[in-house]
Amino acid sequence: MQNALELKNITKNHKDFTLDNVSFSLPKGCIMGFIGENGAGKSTTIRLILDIAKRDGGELSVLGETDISNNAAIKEHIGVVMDETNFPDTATARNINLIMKNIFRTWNEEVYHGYIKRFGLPLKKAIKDYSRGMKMKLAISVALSHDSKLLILDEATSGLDPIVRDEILDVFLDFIQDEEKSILMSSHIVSDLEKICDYITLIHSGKIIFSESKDQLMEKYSIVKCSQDQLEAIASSAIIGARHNKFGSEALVLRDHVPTGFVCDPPTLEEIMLYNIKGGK
Amino acid sequence: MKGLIIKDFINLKQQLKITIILFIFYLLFGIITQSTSMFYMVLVLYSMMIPLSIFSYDEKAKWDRYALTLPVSRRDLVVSKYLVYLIVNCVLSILAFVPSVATGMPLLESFSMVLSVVCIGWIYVSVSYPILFKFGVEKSRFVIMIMSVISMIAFTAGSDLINSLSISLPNIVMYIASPILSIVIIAASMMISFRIMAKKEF
Repeated sequence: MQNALELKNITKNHKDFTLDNVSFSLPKGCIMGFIGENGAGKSTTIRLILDIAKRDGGELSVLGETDISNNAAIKEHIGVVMDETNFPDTATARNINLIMKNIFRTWNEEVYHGYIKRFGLPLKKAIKDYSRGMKMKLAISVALSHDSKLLILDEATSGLDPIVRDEILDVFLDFIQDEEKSILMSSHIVSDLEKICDYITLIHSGKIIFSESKDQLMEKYSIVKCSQDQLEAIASSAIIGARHNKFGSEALVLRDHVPTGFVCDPPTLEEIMLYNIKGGK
Repeated sequence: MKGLIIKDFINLKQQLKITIILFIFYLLFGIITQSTSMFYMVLVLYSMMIPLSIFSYDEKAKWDRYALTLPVSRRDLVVSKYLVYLIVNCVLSILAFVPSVATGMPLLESFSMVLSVVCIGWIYVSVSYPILFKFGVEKSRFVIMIMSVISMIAFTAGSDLINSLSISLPNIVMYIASPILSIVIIAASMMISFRIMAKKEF
């Protein structure tokens, strides 16, 4: 099994939204950032991967398994963190341990308590009294306390302050040290993804725009800043998107197609995402 | 699955504490007034409220969606709810003997009272669970309320019927027929709930 995750032409039809032939693969041992605007289809794709929602077409394999509906045991190896906590309001971290050790065969109490301690979470406080950061940390502790080979994170760091996010990203980097482990994380906080991801998949209006290694993306694209006239010298097919104002123009271009004489800057992931979505020539 | 049942009881903890206190109150009240029908009514009422609560807590926390990311099958989600009710029901049934013993009711009569309470409760669960699985608590509230009223009426009518029938029908038929009927109804309810949950999307 080379790929932790494989999606081929996944489709889902909804009344006002369609996931259209979504295909990408997450190689084992890598972190993939899944980016897109609100409503682009990130959460829907994740729900289809986890079999929480049913697909209308396409094939899917998770950790080599193609039939996850009838194989609840595969979930021993998948750790999931969603954007909202779904734990009972009145439960405490201690209660969660009791619940989870009776759900997961591979539950490790020591590891769980280790994370609780590392994150500084109180053992006997009800979850309804937790701050958002604490709730996320608890969910992450749970996801890491059983034999997870694949972590799926759906906006797990949104709404968190930079300090907490940094702590959490460190935890993910520790997780990925094991070559057998992989992470798929969807996020709006593109700077987080830029820090730790190996691969980036961009989804827009239910369609995959690209799914490539971050290094390849950084090499492929450049930001060019010049006047609008000068921009005309570049082939239209090489311009992914451009912005014009009275001081000049800025464009995301394919670096190989840029004639000499232009100043090319490396793009940020956010610029890659924005220009790919907004276009504009 | 055991974890799911534990989770439901953690949710119910607060409510159960209040329920126990109220039961003791109604029990004493019943003994003092030598009338235990109030106690049985409250018993039936509570046995209906508890399933509603466990669905409600899960709905509020959007637990089901998360539970499916754990090694929990959709069937487990269904069966655990019935099991929680079974456990609560066993406790309540034992409790139901207390007022009758305390007021010196003959054993056979108290047994038929308990049986009716248990059967009414299971019929209620068998009908309401598939509705709750399909539509969730909020949307089912009205339907559930109507059903509670019907069940209460059925209970009073049923116990009167039992009392009048026990003259003509041998009790043994009743004692075997009602549990068998209940089991059939419960099994049908579970099959329907399985189908509903198999298709549900979160």
